[in-house]
Amino acid sequence: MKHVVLGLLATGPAHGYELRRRYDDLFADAGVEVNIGQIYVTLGRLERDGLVSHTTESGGDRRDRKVYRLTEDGAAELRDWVTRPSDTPLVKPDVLLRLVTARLAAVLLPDVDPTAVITDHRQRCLQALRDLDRQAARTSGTSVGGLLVQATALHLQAELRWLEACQRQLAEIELTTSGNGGHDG
Amino acid sequence: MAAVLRLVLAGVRGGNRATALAAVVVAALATAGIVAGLSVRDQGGPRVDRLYVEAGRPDLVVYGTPEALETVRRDRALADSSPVVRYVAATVALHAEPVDARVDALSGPAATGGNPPGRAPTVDGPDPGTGAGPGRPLLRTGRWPVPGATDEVVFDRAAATDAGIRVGDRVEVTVAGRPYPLTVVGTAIDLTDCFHPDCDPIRLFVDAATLSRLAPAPGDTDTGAPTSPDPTAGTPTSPAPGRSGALLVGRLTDPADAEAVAARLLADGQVTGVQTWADTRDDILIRDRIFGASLAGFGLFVLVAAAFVVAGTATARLLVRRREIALLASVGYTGRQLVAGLVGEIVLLGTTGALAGGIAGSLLAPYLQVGLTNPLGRPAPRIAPLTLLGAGVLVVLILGVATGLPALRAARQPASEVLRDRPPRAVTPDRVARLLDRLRLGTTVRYGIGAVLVRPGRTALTAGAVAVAVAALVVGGGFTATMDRLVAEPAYTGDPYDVVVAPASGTDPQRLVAALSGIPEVGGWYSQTDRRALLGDRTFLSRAVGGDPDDAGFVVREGRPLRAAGEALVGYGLLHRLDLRVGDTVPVRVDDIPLTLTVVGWYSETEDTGEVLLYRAEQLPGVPPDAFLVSAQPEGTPGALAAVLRDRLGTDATVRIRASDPDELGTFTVAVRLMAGLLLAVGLAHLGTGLLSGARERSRALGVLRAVGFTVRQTVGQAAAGGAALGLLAASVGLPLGLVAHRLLADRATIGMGAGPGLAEAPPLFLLLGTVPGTVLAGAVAGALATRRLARRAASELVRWE
Amino acid sequence: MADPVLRAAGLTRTYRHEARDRTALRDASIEVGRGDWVAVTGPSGSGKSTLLHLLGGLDRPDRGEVWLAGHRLDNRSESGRALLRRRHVGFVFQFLSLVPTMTVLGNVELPLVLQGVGHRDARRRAREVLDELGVADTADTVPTALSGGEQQRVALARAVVHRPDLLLADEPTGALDSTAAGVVLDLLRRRHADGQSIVLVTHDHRVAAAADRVVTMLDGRIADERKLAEPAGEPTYAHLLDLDG
Repeated sequence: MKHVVLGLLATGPAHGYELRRRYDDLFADAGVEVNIGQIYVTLGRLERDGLVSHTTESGGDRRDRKVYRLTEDGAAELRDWVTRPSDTPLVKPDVLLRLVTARLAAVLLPDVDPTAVITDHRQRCLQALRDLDRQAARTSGTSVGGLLVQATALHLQAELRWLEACQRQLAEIELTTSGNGGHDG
Repeated sequence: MAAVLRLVLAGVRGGNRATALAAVVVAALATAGIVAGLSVRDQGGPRVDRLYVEAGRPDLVVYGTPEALETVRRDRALADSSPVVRYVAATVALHAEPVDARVDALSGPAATGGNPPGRAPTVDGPDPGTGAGPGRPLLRTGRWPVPGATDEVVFDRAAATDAGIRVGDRVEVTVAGRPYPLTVVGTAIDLTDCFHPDCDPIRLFVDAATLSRLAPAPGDTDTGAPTSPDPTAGTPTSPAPGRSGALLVGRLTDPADAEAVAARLLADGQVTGVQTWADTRDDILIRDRIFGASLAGFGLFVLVAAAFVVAGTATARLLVRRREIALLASVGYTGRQLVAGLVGEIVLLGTTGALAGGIAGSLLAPYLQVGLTNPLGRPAPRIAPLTLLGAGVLVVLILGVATGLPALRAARQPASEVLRDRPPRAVTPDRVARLLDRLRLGTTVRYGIGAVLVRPGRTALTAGAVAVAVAALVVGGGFTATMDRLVAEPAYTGDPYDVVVAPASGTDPQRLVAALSGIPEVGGWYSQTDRRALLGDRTFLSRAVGGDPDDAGFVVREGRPLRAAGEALVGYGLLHRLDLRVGDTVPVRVDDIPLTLTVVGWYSETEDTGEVLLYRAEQLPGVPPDAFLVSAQPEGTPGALAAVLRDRLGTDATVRIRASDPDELGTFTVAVRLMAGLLLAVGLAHLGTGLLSGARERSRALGVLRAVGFTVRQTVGQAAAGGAALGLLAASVGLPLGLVAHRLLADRATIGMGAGPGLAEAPPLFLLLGTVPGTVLAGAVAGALATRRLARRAASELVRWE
Repeated sequence: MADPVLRAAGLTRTYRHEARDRTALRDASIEVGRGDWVAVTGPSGSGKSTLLHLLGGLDRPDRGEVWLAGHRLDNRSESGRALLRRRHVGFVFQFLSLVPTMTVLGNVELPLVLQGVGHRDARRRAREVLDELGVADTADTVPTALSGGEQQRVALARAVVHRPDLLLADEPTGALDSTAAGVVLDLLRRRHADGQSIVLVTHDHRVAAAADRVVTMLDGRIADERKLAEPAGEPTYAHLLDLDG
């Protein structure tokens, strides 16, 4: 969150509510919401670390507001973060682990069908895709939200395709595991 | 180059075997037609020329009294000459009909015992170097008569072949009403006139001793006017039986001078007839020329059809192979290499076909030499390398162009578009589609016609090939009809009579006239007397016509019939040769008598290729007619009339039915029909393959239609509708095209025969009426057959097909 | 589901290709109720299109039965199936769904004309549907002049113009870019909302997810069949952004 706030401040000094407005412009149609408390908590931490500073502005008839801006350290930290490599999107092998475990536990849990692990996951993915399309109807293709929807949809499609491969090779997976128990062990 | 060659071979190997075979067959047919036609047209000439050399170059044949001929022998224009040959006019029965014959005396062996000069027999085989004189008959089978033999004869080779007379047979030669049985000891070719049956009389050769027996007393001298070819009928103008005469054959110092020398000799008035070798040669070759030219013309017809076929096939093949072509382009073949490869493929196939066709044509040609086979025998097939090469190059060139043009277009297609695996873009203009939609045709018909119109180029090619076939059919039908009429109505060939009555020697013509007038079966008659006539330095056949001019039913094409003395009616050949017009006045000399004649018209005549001049017999006072030409009453038959005349005239005259000679015209007609049929087959085959490849290409659209709900019957029905539309298009182009082509070709043929233009007979009505529905039906059937297999497939297969 | 639009049981189809048998479909059963939207998905070669062709009567199964709107389909002749098809089915293919030699209007009229609807009436209804699908302005052009997306919209118009019981679509968005695909998918959604029964074959899971039911095919068998719920609430993606860090 802190780098997002730093980024939002990079376009110019702002008070808390202005920052939230900037945030909503970018992310609201992706359904990612933020409350003003989160913003102020983050600003507090950033100020503590010397990355932002604030001045107080008179609000005329209203009460005074703190206007935040980036410090030099803040700008350096922002540069440092942006140029650092992003995470590689490695898949969490969650389904696969469950699938393998279900195989291993076949004797212990005879009522668990390994295929159901796949098909249930497919259902969730399909449902997620369906929901996502509802979401996509409200994003424009060029917004940050649109890009986010696209990324999600493509990941889900990849997952579904992989599930097809899983299902086709299920028999071989079973062979391999039973083989481990049979010899060499 | 190696890359292109690889492409060519891959194409030949991997291409559709049926289309490759079609290209080969079409190339073969076209080449065969052209080569056979040109061979028939051209090979006759050299053969006749070899005979001319073998016979000692007989440039001039002169008829007259022995005394006059002896004078001619010393003429300085003559480089060499035969001795004066005595002959007697006779008749011989061929196929049970009397045919005029001239019996020549052979001089020599009896007198000299050596190798004699003049009309001496040559011993088997050519030997022009021995100093023997010109014009010797050429022995082909058997032997010459033994010197002094009185009952041996060497027969005219053409007549012998025609009548099946062989060495050892007995023949009866009738002279002045008296039959003399003779034994045939050989057959020979004689070049003093053209061959039987085109020219009469046939020539027989006997020893001088035999001749003395046949004609003991040297009778009145025969006029000896040679007669000329007439493809449709025997000629009556022959020496009356029993007359004898003499002739001389001369070799000229300058053969090109023949016409002038002939004119000079005639003008001198010493001789009665002169015939030049040029005339004889033309007469011998005319039929083969016309036939050969027609054959070659039909070959060209096939070639045009072939070009359509190949262009259509090439376009279809290229469409099928467009992905392959694009792949090759992506590998790095240039557009030029691709076109070279595709053209190279057809050139390879075309050359194979042309070679096979050329050889077949050469082998076939001897069987098609209709005019020369009987007299000269069937020649060994000869391959003329130049003709073959020329025809082959022409055929391959046209096929190459027919492939090259679509190939250029195919190679120009951007490879990327093709590789994207989109179907070739259809080019139906919006307008066409809208128009068809507006017509509110049934869905089946609507789609079928639309599918045909979607590729206007290919549709035009397919329709073009069929149109050429239709045109050929019309031409063939019209040609046959024209020939049939010329045979059926002899008036068109200048023979408006049924029976020839030739007065016997010494018969008073007035008695015959009186007799003819008293026979009720006689519908009418006229008489004729043939003489060589002279106009300036040109000689031609003139014919003095006596009797009732209205009975002489010549077909006058322009002007009016001959009525009075001082008028002349000319054949088209003469009109053309002398550049005459109706109304012209011509000064001619006949038998040394100057006549001034006004041309009152021209008529259809094929004798002497129409170079004939008719005038009234009153202008030759005191000259007896050669023959009376008698027509039957409308209800009578020539046979009945002849029987009556024979009965009534007895030995006063020989009576002969006009010989109609349709045998060789029959060959001709069969050949023309065969060619037309062949073209039709090619056209229909192309229609079929065109529709088949079209259907294959549209299989996806057919699948879609089936998905929408087309039944199998509707699927076949739409193809039939498309085919029918193509057929209609082809017929509506081919029919007028054929009519025009027929008129032109038939005119050329009838002008060539001397009968003049405008004799083209319309093709039979059933053919004209049947052409359009027939072609439409053929198209519908071809379309239905082409789609039948596709229609039977499951729709899912068609939908997948791409 | 008392009266399913389509019921197929035990469909098996083997193709003989160059002397080798390849079973494209084994023992597949499917039922489509009135107003259902079923998507068939799976990797290429899994038998999706074969199944669709059998359901629409474009092909005959070696075993099994197909009942379409109460009529048995699989035992009829080619032409018999064509007659049923023209009344009860509309087809959309991946591309080349249109007859290239007819105008757009001519294509859309085709099912009506085949059913014997009068020219005037057919023309009016065809124009209505084209208008509804937003391609009314293309009516007088030939299909080849249209973009891929427009062609598919026209194909869809032709498939629904005669109000068939069942719309069969074989990869209708397969050859389109995402924008054009989105338009076609929206049109399918609208027809479905109006009660159209649809069977849609696609290898694109996102397209499949638009259906009420997704059938997954693997190696010629139906491997899975899942009903999807209507989207529940407003989804959020905070977890994806991990903004709490």
